[in-house]
Amino acid sequence: MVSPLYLIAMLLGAAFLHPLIQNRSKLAGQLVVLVVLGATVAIPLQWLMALDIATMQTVVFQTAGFTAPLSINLQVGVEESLFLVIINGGALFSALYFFRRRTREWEGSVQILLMTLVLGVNGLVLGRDLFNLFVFMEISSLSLYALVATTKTANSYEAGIKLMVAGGIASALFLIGVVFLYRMTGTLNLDDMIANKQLLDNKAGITALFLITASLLIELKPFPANGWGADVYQAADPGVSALTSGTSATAIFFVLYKITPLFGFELLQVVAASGGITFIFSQLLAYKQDSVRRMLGYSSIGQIGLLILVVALGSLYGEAFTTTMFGGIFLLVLLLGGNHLFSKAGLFWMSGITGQHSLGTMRQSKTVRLGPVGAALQGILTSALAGFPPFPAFWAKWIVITALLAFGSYWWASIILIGSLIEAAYLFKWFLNAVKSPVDPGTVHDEVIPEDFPEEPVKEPMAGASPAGIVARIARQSSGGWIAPFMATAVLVACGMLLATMFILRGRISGYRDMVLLLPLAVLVLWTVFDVIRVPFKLQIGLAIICSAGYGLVFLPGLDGIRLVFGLIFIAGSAVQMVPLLNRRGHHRGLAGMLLALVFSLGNLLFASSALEFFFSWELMTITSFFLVVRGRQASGAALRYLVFSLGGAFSILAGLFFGSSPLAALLLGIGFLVKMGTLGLHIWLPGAYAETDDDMSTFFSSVTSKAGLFMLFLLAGLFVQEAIPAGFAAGTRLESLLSGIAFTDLLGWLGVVTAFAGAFLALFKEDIKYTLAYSSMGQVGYMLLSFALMSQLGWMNSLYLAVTHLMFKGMLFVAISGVVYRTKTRLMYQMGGLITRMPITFFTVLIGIIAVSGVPPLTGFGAKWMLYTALIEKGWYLQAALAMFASGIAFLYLFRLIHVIFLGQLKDEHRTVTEAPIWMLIPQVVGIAGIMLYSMYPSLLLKPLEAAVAPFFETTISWDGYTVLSTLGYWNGTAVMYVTMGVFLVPLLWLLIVQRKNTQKVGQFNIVYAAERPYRPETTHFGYNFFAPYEKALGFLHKPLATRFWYRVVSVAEVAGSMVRKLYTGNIQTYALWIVIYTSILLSILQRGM
Amino acid sequence: MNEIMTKAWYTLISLFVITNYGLLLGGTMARVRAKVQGRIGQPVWQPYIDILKNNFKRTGIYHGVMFYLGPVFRLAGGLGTYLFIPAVYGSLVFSNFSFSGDLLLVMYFIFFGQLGMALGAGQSGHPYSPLGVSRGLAQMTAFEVPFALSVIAIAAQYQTLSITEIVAAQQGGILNWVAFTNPLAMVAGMISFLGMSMGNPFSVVIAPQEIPIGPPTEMQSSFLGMLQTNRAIFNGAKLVLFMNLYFGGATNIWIMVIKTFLIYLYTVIVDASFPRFRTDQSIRFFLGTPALIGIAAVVLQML
Repeated sequence: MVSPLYLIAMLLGAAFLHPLIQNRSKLAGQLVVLVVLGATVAIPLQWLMALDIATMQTVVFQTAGFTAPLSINLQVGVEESLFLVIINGGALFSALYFFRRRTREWEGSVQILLMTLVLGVNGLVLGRDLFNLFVFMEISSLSLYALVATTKTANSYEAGIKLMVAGGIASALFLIGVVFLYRMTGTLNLDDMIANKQLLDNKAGITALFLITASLLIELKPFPANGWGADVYQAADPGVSALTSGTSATAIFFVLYKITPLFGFELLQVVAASGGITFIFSQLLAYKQDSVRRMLGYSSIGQIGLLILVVALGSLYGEAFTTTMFGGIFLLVLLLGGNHLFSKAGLFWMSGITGQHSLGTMRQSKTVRLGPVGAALQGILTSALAGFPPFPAFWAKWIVITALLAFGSYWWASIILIGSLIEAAYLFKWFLNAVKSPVDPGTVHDEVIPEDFPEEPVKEPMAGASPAGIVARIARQSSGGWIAPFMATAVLVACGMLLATMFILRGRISGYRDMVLLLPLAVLVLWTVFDVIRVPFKLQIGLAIICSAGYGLVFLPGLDGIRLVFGLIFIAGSAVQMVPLLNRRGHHRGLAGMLLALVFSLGNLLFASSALEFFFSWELMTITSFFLVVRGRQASGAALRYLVFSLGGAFSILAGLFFGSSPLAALLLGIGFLVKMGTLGLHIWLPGAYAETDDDMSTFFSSVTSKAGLFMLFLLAGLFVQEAIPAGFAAGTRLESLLSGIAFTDLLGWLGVVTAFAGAFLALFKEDIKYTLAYSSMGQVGYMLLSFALMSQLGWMNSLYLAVTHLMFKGMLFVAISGVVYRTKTRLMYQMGGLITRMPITFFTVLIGIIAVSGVPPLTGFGAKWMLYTALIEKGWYLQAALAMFASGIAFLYLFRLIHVIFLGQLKDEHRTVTEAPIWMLIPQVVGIAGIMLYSMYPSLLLKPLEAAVAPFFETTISWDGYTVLSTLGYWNGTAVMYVTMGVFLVPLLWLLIVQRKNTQKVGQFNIVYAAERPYRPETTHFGYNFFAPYEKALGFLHKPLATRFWYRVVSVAEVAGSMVRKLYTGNIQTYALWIVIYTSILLSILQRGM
Repeated sequence: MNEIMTKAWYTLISLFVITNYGLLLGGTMARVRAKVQGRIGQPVWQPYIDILKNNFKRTGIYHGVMFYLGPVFRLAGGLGTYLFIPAVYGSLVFSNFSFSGDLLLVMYFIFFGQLGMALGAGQSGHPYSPLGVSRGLAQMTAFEVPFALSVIAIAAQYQTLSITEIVAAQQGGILNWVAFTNPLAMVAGMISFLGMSMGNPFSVVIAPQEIPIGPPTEMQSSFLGMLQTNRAIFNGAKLVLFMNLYFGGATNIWIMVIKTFLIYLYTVIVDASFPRFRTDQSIRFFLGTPALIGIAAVVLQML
């Protein structure tokens, strides 16, 4: 093993010699820095190879020829080595960032400061002597003050001084603590102190330890004594901020980690509280920030707070952590710390490279749109920081929550989850701001109806600057530096893949089937390679279709029953709906890969055999679908809402997974699944996400991914039959008798039917066709939920029947409409009209589609209505049945409007040359029509397999008599209905053909007269806008956006909390110093009360 | 094969009866209305004359395929609705194709013709057609609510959705009729029947006295003739349905004639006595008291 002394000597030597080399050649100076920093990564790696990882071996190096108490010792263990690899790796990437940025400031002395900083943090990690730790802390802090000031702006000087004052107070506390500890234990060596821990088990000892802890906490910028820290992040160069947040803070955190064995119960509690409060409040503060760097700064502070919390909780609840995971608390700290270090540093660098300062959503001019590479990097880094799979934080989050809930520590678990949710919200807000198109105001959640006159075309961003100036600015901003975030991303991706393989496979590879859960990741990697080598997009999509089909052929035959039904929906449904994408031209980087990964993640829900595997696939599904929604032209606002709701739902699921089969589990899991399905109250993300995503992508969200929630409900159905109110609630009161006996399924049933009603009702008033269809999907999912909640054979059959047929007809409708929008270039229905002659096939599809949706016999939709009402009446849910009937009547209204306003009525002049939709869009439509006609003609083809799928769960209540299906209440013979319908249709048709065989003339649509007028223009003759005005007048009060308003309140509460907290920060050094002192005093008094 | 031929004959007889009955009923009621208003009115056979005249017009125009098919859809809807209802209880001839499905099928098949007609009228490009359709559909969703509640109450009462069984359960005396065993359901259903008949006060959807609106606006010649034929059949079908649901059905054709005549007379009396609601007013009306009566009927079944 290489002695750690070489590490320190090398850095020190290089720092001293650097000016000499620099004077000869600048390049040589830079090379020296890179080589030395490279060596600081290589040496710990060498240690790792020499050490026995399984036993977490440690080796102690003595110095100066004496043993520990007399001289200082350095400890090299697995923990130290791993931390040094990531910390020094971060520093190395920082150096790359500085050099590639080529700004004048980053020369000479700055390189020296960088090396001394690294020297300090290496000493912090390796040292076992308290006084030595103090020295190293001073070295690294001094380097940092100077580095902050090197930006050479008034703000950065001020920030440097603030940092120095705060650091000075911290150092003083540390030193006093060390003095006391030495007095009590007679040693400065950490190992000796731990061995004689009992000497410190008194008030004085705990106070001494507290002083050291307080000092470290202050260095780590605890809330609320951290205003100076935020100023540093805001004022310093992003490269320095990356070092502050990653390298320096992580090392100081490691010191805290090292001395935790000395802590008693009380001190651990204080530390945990400090970390937890810092975490949650920093996230709130970050949410309110307008400045990107300050936001990232708060995020860093919050993340470090989380690390502190985790370490303290790990020591407090040691058992829970060691039994629920391998590697102990250290692995957790490593995953969280490493993930944060690279992702946060990467994001700081990105903010430096692109020059993004302000987040202001409305201020277009301040944003610089990222190119595809930049967007990919920022997307990955943001996902990693927000803890999406497969990145390290995902696994850490899983372990932490598992352990906390296993230990019954619900409060800490909810604080961590809520904080993470807020963090994801603002991080992705920034991401969206950076990638959205210039025409996207970022606030589109509903249809936009233009004024009568056409709007001015939106100018390029950064109004006022000349095009040449913009190009120059972007070129200047993006000069170099990309290598650093790229390296950070690469490290994160590699670690993520490795961890996913470790956690998912857990060493068991018995066959290719075990690999299925990792397929989405493989797809993402492979299709990224395709993008890099510029494989044509059509080929990418073609391959994706083939891969989906292959996935289906290989994996689906192993399934049966309900899983198979959903498997076919997820996989076969997706494969068909990818066909329209073949119509696209040009390059669409990332689209095909994300889509296929989404499809595979959905499919993997079927194969997940443990909670972790399920959650992994679920989160992958969330993040891949998010990146698909983002691609819409004005989708950024909707995408953010989608992400926040999906993630909130996912967290609810995560928590719910650990409550066994209690009512609480049903509640939490249920909320998670219902968010995905978009039931009323949790639906406000849905219309925007479905409608604002690309036209040919909407169909996936509506007809495929919304079924994921339904599938999970089916899978965990047993949870929901229990009573919703736990026994003993309000015992002895009247309330008890009123509430007892209400099962979750009763609530789900009402929720389903109300959602069906609300979806139909909201669709009624939309002028934008995609919003109409989005709300329509919401309503249809409501029917599925209602049928599921019936918990009867017919109910479940109907739910599955709806899931299958909805895939067909809603897929058809969305694809058909995307063809119409593609041709007419508008989504507003009243701007269309009369397209039946121009797009006859599409018209026919829509006609079949709306008949099927509305439930008019003889098509498949009627089967669903028949089963639904029969099952509802069998169950005695009469009022629900009535409301469902009302909803289906309203559905009829919007469906008629949809087909009438688009295809019938007057053709507009600008659409007279419109042609039929492209062939790629027609293929899925034809497939859908074929499916619907087949199942309409012979419903038993679909009903009998569904009956078999449901058979294991319920007593059978239906029987067959030929083609007639008999329920306990009535009967239905779909085939006979079809024949009768054809008969009664053909007879009048023949009659008409005979009577009209001559003297009948076809005239144009404009050949009409009304009320003694002749029509003026198609626009004034086509009745389409505000089609159901009487309805609006009669019941319009029902569509007030109550749910939206509720969620706005929730957000504003968070914002108000953030603003109130922000008032603590005055920007004044004296105040900050006072805060630090007060903070320490308060912690101390709390601690003493505890003792 | 023989069976199918027999069924075909029965079907033709059944359709022949209902068509002629519907036409005569329409003519009679037009006369009743005229008497109320102090006019002499048209001859009873005027509907026949109208239909024949329209079918033998020398010229006709159409606006496109959907326009052409609209009346076909409409008539198919009327025929189908009638054919899925057993018109006379216990009669082989008039049992029609009620084996295809139960009450739910009939309720949803009513939409078939309306949808097709609305689409056909839509292609005419005439703005008044969809205007009427919009009003009509909006009103329809509203009167469907008390009707649905009423049907659910009956289904709950007899635990069946089969029309034949509902009629069977009402046999054995006038007091066994739903009208007496479940009066709230009957009241809710008969109020929504007023909306379904589109007479006053719910007539604004066709605005008969002023400028014509609704699907027939652009229809002429045999297209219009077909719509008039349908009106007779569809009206007959609805009357038979309501008779079956609330008034014990009919065991022979004469009982059917008497009962349906009286049911129709009821709508005509209301029609002649009331002014007209605006569409939004009628929506609110149906969702108000009639819906509450329907809910009461359903809740009574739940207790």
